[in-house]
Amino acid sequence: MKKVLVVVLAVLLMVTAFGCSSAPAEDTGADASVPAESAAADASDPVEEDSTDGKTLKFGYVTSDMSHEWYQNIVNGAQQRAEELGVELITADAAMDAGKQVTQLENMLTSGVDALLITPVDAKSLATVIQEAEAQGVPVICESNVVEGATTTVGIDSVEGGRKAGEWLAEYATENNIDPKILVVNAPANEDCRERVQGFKEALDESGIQYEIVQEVDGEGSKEKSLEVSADAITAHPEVNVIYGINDNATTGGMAAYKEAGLDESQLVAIGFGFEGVAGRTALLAGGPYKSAVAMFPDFMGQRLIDTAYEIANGGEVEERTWSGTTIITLDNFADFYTEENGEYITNFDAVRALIEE
Amino acid sequence: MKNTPVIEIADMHMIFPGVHALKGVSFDLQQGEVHALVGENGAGKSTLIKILSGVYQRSRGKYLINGEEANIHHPLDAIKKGISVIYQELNLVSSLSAAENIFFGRLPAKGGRVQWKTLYDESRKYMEMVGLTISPRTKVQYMSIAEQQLVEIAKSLSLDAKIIIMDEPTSALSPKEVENLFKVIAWLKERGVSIIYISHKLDEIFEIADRITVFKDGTVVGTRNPEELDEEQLIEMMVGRKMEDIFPDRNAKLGDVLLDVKGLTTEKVTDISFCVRRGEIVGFSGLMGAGRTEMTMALFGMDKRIKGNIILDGREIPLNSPLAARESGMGLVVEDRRKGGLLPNMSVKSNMTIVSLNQVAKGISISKTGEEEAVNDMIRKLKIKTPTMNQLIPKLSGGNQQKVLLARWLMKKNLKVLVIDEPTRGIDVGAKAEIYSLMNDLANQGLAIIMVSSELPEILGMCDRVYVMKDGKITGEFNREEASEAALLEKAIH
Amino acid sequence: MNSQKTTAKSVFSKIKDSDILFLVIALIVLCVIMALASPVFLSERNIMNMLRQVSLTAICGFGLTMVILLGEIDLSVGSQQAIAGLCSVVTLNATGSIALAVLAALAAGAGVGALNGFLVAKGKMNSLIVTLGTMTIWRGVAMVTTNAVSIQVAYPDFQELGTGYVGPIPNGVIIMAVLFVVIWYILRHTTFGRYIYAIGGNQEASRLAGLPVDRMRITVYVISGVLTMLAGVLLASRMSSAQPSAGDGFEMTVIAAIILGGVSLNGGVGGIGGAFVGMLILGILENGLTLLDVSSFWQNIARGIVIILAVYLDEVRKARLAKKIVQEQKDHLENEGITA
Repeated sequence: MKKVLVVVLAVLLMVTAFGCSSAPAEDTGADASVPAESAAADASDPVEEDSTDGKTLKFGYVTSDMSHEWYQNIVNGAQQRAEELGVELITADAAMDAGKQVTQLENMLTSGVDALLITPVDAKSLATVIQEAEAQGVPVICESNVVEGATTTVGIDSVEGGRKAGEWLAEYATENNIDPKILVVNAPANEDCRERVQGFKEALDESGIQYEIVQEVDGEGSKEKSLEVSADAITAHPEVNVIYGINDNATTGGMAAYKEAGLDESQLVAIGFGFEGVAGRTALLAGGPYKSAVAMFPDFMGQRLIDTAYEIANGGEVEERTWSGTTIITLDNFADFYTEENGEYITNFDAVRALIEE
Repeated sequence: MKNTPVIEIADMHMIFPGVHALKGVSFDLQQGEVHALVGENGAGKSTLIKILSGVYQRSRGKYLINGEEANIHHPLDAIKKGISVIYQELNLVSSLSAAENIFFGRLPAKGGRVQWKTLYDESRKYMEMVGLTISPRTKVQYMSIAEQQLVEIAKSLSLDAKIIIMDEPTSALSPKEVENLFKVIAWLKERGVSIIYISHKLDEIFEIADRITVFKDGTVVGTRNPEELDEEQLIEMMVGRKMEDIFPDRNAKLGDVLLDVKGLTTEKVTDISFCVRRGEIVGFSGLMGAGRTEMTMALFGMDKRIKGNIILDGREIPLNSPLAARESGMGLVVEDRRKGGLLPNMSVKSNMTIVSLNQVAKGISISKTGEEEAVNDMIRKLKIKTPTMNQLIPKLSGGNQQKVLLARWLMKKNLKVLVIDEPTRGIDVGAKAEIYSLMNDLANQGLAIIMVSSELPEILGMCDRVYVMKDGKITGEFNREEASEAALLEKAIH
Repeated sequence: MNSQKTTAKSVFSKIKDSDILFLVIALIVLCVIMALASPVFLSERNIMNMLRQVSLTAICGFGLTMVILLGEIDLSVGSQQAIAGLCSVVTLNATGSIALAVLAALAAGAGVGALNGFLVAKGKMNSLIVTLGTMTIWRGVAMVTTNAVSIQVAYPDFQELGTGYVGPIPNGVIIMAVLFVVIWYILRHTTFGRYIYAIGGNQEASRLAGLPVDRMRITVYVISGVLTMLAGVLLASRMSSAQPSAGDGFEMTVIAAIILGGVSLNGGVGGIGGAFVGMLILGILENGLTLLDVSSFWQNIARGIVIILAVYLDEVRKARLAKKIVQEQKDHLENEGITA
């Protein structure tokens, strides 16, 4: 019995350890460093003094799930921008645990940050911690999800992005004389994803072209599941000639199912909402069916988060929602937004910024 | 004095899948009497008490309580009619206190709150009746078997039981505890409680029973007063043969030393040294907890050997490996069949051949015909009663299960030493005689047998030589001629 | 001719008496319903598609069935799939050799299985806890080594493994069929198989019978690890990438199918035939419901109901069988003239 207990404890420790350290970006481990720092902060670092010149600003960012490429890239972008601005950024990963997220946020507040950045695991669980932040005069900036009480929300407009995909398809179909039979690889448990599909349909309807959505499947945002359900759908509907996926995994999973079914890939057009990581870019550059993507520029999103926080911390005013840019990317305009350096693609931030300033 | 019996049963039949367990049984129980049921395992005693207590529904027959139709369809009905059963495997919740067990399911409560004081006071009252002096707060898991049994009886009394059925109540009790139990039974009798008493221990039955009913093969052989007959006659009724026939005549032809154990020591036994010759039956006697079973575990490599050597047929057996012990030619039939012997998910066939599959295999495949021939051969030789060799082992009677486990080792071609721990535990008299005779034959064929037993008659009747153990050590060694109950007991206790 | 007839008859009676009869009927009913509801269901294209998906569950599930029969469990099979993808794709991209890529994954499977087996057998730890631990560790390893970013396959030929065909039959299905026959034979007709059932039925008794309990446990975990990784390689090949999140939750799908197939979690009871039928039922359910365009949320509900219903009806069937035997006995007595 005792042995079992020891093992359980060991396992729990391992789980916790991995949960914290799986974030590859430099993670100062908010949990661990808090006690010592907070004591020092209380004594010599009154909150009011933080925003005065000469003092380094300190931001804290808790993500929902660092095992996801999208968030890794956001954090990378944020980290980079923070360095440029001379801001200290500490990050933590809630690993999809709402309770853990609250604890991490509270720890950051005690350690005396000048702004809290959050990708909520569960918007409803954040009310108390946001009140606390408000009481201490710390602004709260949420990523993507609107949370009541937050100073602002930085995000991409999913409906608008979806519309861009729909508009592009309408145009492409007319030019190439295609009668679109569309397979949508969705992840309907997620509101953003539902909106990406909603905008796509709206734009297609408004364009007035003939089209049919033959089936909408739930790929849960993973390539494995997307492949599986798409394979079933494509057997039922081999006439599919367009695949629209709500992220890189959904789109490439659908494409793999199409190929596996032995259908002619030259007849397929794939459009992805995505570019959250490398898979989408690789697929586009391969010159296959993946013709265009609604790029989300996660690293730019990271920049926006820091910029917004910086502005507020320096007394600036921001609107309730702050948008980060999206645009349609095809092989034609790829080079405008990404520059290749040693096999890696660097986002051209000026070009992205130009998008939102339009 | 023949009043209306408290229980009357006539022409009772009980049919299970594959078994006609009771074939027209008649029986009656008078008020304030101790009525013993005896018979071999599978004779129908357990089935009868399960019908009486509502666990089974009879297939056919009459069942009257105080002259009226019993109308018992559920164990709860039986409890309401004042029938309590104390099973061999006690029905207590070990993590609860004595008091909570006595009033299990009907704790005295007011407005949803348990009245602990009332509970303990009431429990103490009933516990005192059965001579139990421990605190009602004591958890069952910290009690001895005897104390647990008394808690069960106290529970029956609290349920106002008029009829108490005791199934093998003394099988795990010390002589002193048995004496105490009999006092309680006498006291219950005085209060007019009727008792049905099931036991294999015939001396006890003669001591306390007012009447004895003998079962055999699902029928009643007869009901007698204890004064009418002696123990031998009773056994004759039970098995249809005479007592002296139970043990075979030993005419041991001893060969050279086959197993030589020197200074065997584990955490539980110390410095065990003994030898067994070819063709010899060596007994290990001693009280419960003397370390005999632990000695067999040390021998078979189950417990970690700290020091000592085991030499079988001139070759040293490597440390701590039952597999090596088996490959060197040793076999072990354990004391607790269910825990350490039977493979309950498997057939008679698979249970039997599990240690000798290599003998019936070609390459990696098991030869179906080879295996079936070997199994059939054993079923015939050992007279194992089973419908087919594909029957699941738990469906066999205890005696037949034991025979299958013996057959398991006998099938092994290179078997040289067979260790049998309590060869006849939970087995009826008829099967006992068969197993004794089998052991005798095996020894005569040159096998060395180590027999661990708590039953002195068995040790004295079968063994050529006896070692006595106490506290994990060997304290005495006797030849067949020197050995007597008194001598063995003296070494076991002293 | 005559002997053929008797064989067919005895095979039929075996199925009739066996525990999987009910499952086979359930499978057939499910197929009929799906065929009536969707015209595509019975098309060759769909059957092959469905079997290819089942093959991934089955190849891993055959090994896991052996583990469960042994009275143990392996929760780490899902994470192992991620490791399989990583090992094979990294090796492939480094060497360009498909054979080496597969070999690397299988070797990793043997290693991972040996670790599980060793901890359970020699460490004397509960397998549920051990494999819960290794499940987390391997997932962590997959995330750390890739930074949670999938690795693309650099040699497109690799995709042939999982998506290719032999004649009209997908490669995975062929592998599944071969493994089914081999493992069925092992469990039914070899000493190794008999030992698995014995140890699963009563480990203490098996030890006391001198069976090589620990060696068996390690070996079976190694087999399970190798088969799981084989399935993982096929998955990676189908996705033409190594996904660090591959196989997330996969262990539950496989275990559910095996239990549905009548394999007892206590060990020693059930067989690979039943387990395979269980996998088919869940596979067909998922495939059919997607064909019918049923929402994925409803699919979850349907899957749960089917598992519970199947187990329940199986209990009902067993009870009815027992009742029937008693009735036969009574009738028999009646004929013998014993009356009340």
